[in-house]
Amino acid sequence: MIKNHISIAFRIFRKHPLFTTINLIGLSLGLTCTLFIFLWVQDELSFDRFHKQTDQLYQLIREETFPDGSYEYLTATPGLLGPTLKHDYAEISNTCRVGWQGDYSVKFNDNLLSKKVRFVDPSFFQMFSYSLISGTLEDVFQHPNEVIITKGTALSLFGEDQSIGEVITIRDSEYSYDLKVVAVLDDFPGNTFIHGTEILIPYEAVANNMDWLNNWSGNAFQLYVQLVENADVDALNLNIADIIKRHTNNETYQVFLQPLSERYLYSDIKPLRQATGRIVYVRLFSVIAVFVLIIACINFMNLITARSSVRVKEVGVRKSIGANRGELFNQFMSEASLIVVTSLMLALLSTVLIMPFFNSLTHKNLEIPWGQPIFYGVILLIMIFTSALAGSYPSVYLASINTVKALKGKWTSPGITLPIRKVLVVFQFTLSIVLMITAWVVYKQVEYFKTQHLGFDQENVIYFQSTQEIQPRQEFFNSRLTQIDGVKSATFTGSLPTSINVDTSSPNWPGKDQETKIDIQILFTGLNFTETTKLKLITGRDFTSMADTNKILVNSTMAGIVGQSSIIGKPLTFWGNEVEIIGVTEDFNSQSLREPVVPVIIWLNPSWSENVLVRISPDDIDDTISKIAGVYHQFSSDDAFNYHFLDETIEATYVGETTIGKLSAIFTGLAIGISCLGLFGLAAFTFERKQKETGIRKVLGASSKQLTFQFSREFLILVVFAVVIASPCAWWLSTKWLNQFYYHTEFHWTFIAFAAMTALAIAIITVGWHALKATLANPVDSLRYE
Amino acid sequence: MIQLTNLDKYYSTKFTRTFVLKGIDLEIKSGEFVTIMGPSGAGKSTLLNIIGMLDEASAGEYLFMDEPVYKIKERKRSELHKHHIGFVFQAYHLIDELTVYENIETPLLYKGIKGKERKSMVADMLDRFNIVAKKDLFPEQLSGGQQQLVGVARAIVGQPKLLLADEPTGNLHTEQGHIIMDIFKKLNQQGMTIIQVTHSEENAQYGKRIVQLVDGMVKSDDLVAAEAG
Ligand SMILES: Nc1ncnc2c1ncn2[C@@H]1O[C@H](COP(=O)(O)OP(=O)(O)O)[C@@H](O)[C@H]1O
Ligand SMILES: [Mg+2]
Repeated sequence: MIKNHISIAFRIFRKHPLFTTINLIGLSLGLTCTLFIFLWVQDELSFDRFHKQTDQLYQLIREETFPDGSYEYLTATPGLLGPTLKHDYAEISNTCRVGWQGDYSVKFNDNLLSKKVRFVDPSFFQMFSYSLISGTLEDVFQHPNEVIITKGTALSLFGEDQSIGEVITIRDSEYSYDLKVVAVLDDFPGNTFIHGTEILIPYEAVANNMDWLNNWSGNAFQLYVQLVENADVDALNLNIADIIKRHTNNETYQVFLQPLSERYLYSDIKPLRQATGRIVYVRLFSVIAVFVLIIACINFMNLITARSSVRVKEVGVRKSIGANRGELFNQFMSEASLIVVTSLMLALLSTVLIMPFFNSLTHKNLEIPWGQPIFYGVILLIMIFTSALAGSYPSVYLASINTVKALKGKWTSPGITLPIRKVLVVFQFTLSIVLMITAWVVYKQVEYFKTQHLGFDQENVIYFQSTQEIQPRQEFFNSRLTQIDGVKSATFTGSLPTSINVDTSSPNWPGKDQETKIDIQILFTGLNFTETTKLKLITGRDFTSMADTNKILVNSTMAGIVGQSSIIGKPLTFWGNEVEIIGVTEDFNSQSLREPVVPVIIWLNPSWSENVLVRISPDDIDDTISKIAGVYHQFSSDDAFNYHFLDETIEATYVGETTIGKLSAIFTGLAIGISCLGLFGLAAFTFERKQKETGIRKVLGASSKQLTFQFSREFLILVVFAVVIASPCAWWLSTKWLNQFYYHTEFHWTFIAFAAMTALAIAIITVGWHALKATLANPVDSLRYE
Repeated sequence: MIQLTNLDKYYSTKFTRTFVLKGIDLEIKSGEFVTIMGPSGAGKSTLLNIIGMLDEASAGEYLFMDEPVYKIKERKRSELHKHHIGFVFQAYHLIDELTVYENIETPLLYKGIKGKERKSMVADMLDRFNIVAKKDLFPEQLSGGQQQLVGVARAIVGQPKLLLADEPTGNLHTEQGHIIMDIFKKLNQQGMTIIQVTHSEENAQYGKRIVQLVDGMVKSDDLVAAEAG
């Protein structure tokens, strides 16, 4: 019997290739989309959940309260906080300080590379679970001159040779360390907080050079905490909240623990410690996945029932032979399942094919987990869900057709389902249009990020770290660089001007309002800073020589705070220095565009400026850079020349938004495609019912053109309806999304117009094809049906 | 076998009730070969469909093998279709997507007859109707007469007790019609009860009894002259 069902199913598929293809494509699209979102969500949810003691691991968050009552949540903490917590609280079994990732030159024999390095406490390996490739983690970092590297690093430094026991030299712009490789770890997976790091060094190795390790001043460490089993973290959070205050008298800091496994998805902590973040997108895309699958199933249902007149006679015959409803249901269900299974195969295939593209888009390393039983469970579940959803209604429906009418060929689809079908089409198009508009808004915002005037010119600027050899000879190095043809100007800075990470609230000046405490960012710089960044000076003068080391420039915002009148020559004191304002620059974005412009002090302070910024001419960039590298290596033969483009670095800070933009675009495409199939189904259904009407009208003299227009109109009304519903929803969603950025594009009515036109155009093509086909048909053919 | 008493069939609209069948009394015994005749629209097909339990009467009583039909549940009804009743249609009504062989096989699949036996039963039919060579063809590749042979083969392969045929020769040439009628006669001689609808006086002569239906009522009910004589 099953064989009979399957062979008839195949013959029907072959006999109606268009219909079958549409069904297959529709379902495959939906399933592919669902699979991708499933894999993506699974990966998003997997961050740092693989550690043996995941449930006991937390990161310490520092809450800073400002005089105006606002909060900021930061991960940087004082050096003594970790050891103190471990000593003072029984619930805390371990703590680990982890530094920020930095680029260091790594040398072994003649092999010189730039690698991403982090400093950690030895407890790192007791708390986190990463797989060991060779060497040992027992007693690890008991000696200060030890280092642990990843597999990739070992390969690039030592090739296939044994790396354990070898000594490598690691250099930054101040110090060099000779360290012995004691273990090789597997490369850190994409779903862990330490992803990307290639070398781990114990803090002990640098303890002599880092006073911050052993005091409470400065916030230089990320702190991870392991609790004993079943510890009451809420109670503990109450107890540790004021620990910094107790040791430093700093009134503004409170601390609390956030579970490590939540750090990735809930990284954005809002006042009252409401944590959110990527979880919003995870939820959003999960909902979209379910919607897309349901819509695909509904379309499948619609298409099959719309085509049921083709099967009606067969149903009648089979019933007269003695098939009961159950048997007919089984037949149509197995046909549906066949399409579902085939679609699922297609979906898996396209998932495999699209995966590399998807991975590069989302910056992930996803793959189909062929080895995991749970994956097959999920596939089976999706299969059952889809078959049941897509197949059950048409099967029940076909099985219950009246036999006599079926045999007479007088059967028509029940009219009651037409309004439901229309509602479904409106629903799909509403969703598509909302997606289309929001995707467009996201795209516009990302474009805005990239093109927005930051106050300086980030294009054609490269930067790299200074070295121990360059640092003492900055001016000479600078003059050597500017001798290169393609180099226009060069300067040294502390932070990058696009992400200043030094700030203070301590500056004092005559007439300062002592009540208000403001955070002021400080940018250390060498000479030629404004020239290299093309930051405009509004009043006063620039630094002209090293004699200006006690002089500062301020941006307009800072100038506004200090007081516009007679600002030039005003003295300012902070950190025990007295400096003098000599000029005011335009405002510039020293953080991402998510944040407003803040007051900035630009301080000529070459020895604290360890980044080299070089403005190059846009022609023959490769040649210029290799010449720069040449000069660099003349100074520092033991350092790797590792440069970046400033604009690329800025763009990289918006990678999250860019990814969301691309994902939205993909889902929009999918949603539109699937909606078209839905419309196609409705059109097919309606025109089948209209065959006779079309025939009569044509006999009465209506032209194909008139009929096509008349029939298309009623569908286009549905799309217009969808536009009306979708526009306010899209406006609301987009504005809400845009408002999280301080600098953002405005929602514009053309976004809606654009989406509406696109939806209408697509609908016209979909429906017009059907309408034309129906109206071009020979009227005699359709009238003969009666 | 079949006992109809004061049977009505009507279609109701808001204000009127249109009778298609009115006050039908009819008894058909096992082994009979009855021909129903009458003008177009007289209700012949409706009557046949009610007898075949594809349609339901609006009023009156219908006993099938001494059992009131209105009490028969859907499941039981399809069992009756499987085991006791075979249909032959004017428009053949073969399943287009199935071959000749598969069309004939389908009722046996629903009856749950296993492989070997099923094969030999289908082979027997193909042989009997001389269509072995056509067994892998699809309906659209056959002439009308051949299609109807397949239709008959499908109707009787499950060895039903009752064969219902609604204008089985209506779309056929006289010649082809005779072939079908000869088969019916032979089947009847072997004990199958047959009820057919036809417009052809000639075909009616193959049966034993003729029921004339006019405007939904039985106008006459006579034995076929030749047999009576
Ligand atoms: N579903 C229906 N609704 C209303 N009238 C019907 C319906 N089906 C059949 N009829 C009417 O019943 C009458 C008898 O039809 P039918 O049994 O097919 O006649 P015959 O087979 O004798 O030509 C016809 O007048 C037809 O119009
Ligand atoms: Mg009839």
